[in-house]
Amino acid sequence: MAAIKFTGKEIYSRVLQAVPGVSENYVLNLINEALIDMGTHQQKVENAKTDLKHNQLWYALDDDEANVTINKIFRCVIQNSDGEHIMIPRLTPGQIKQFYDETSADTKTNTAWTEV
Amino acid sequence: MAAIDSPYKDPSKTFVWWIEGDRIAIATSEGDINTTETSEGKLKPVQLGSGNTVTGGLIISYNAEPDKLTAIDATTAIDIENTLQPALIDFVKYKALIDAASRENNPGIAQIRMAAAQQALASYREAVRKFGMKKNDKTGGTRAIVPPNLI
Repeated sequence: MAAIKFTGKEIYSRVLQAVPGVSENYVLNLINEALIDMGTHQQKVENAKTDLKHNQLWYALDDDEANVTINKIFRCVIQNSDGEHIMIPRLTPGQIKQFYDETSADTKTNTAWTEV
Repeated sequence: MAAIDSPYKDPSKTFVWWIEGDRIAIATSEGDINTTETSEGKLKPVQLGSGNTVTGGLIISYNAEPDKLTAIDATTAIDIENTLQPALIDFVKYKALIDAASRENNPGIAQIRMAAAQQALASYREAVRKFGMKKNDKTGGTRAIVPPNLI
C-alpha cells in the first residue's frame, strides 16, 4: 500500500484556499524555499560513491555536484584489497603536516559522485 | 588512467577524512612519495601510482537535501518525509499569507492575514518540533576522532 504523499497540485489547492489568486509559479518557489528549510532536518539518508584517485586530496561536495545533494556527511568508507568497504575515522581539526598537491582543491572541477 | 584494485588491507588504520568548506579530504599514511614530509607514516593524498584510480573506492553516507520540485502537477510527489508534508503546507501558507498581507490595502484584511500567517507559522514550528530532529549545519557535529600526526 502506498504511503500518503502530497503532490504539488494538492499543496497549491490548499494555498489557494488561504490566499486566492496566487500563481502556480509563486507557490512552486515557496515550496522549494520550504524544502531548503526542511532539508536541514535529518530525514533522508543517501550514499554516494566516487573513484579514489592517485594524489587527490580533495573531493568536491558543493551544491552543484551532479547526482547528489549533500547536506551533512556522517560516514566515509574506503574499499580494501578484498573489495570490502571499511569505515575510516574523521580527523579533527583536519590539519596535516603538508599538503603535497593542492591542485585538487579547486572545486570548480566537480567530483563525479554516483548515488548507490 | 588505469583502474586498479585497492592496495589497502585495512584502510581504517591508515586513512582519515575531514570536511573543509564544501569539499572532503581523504588522506592516508600509506605509500611513500619520497619527500621529507610525506614519507611512509605521514598523512598525505592517496598514492596509487600516476594516473591510477580505484573504481568506486570511496563511499560516503550523508543526510541528503530533498530534490527540487520542478513543476506543479498532479503526479509529482514532494520529496520529503510524509510526516513533514503538513508542515511544508503550513510553511507555504505562512509565506503566502505574509506576502498577501503586505500587498493588501485594507488594514483590517491585512491584519486578519497576518494573524492567519502567525497561526500557520506556529503550526509549522510545532510540527517540526514534534519531528524531533535538530537542524543540521553542514560541517558541525560529533565525530570519531583520530589525533593528527605531529611527528
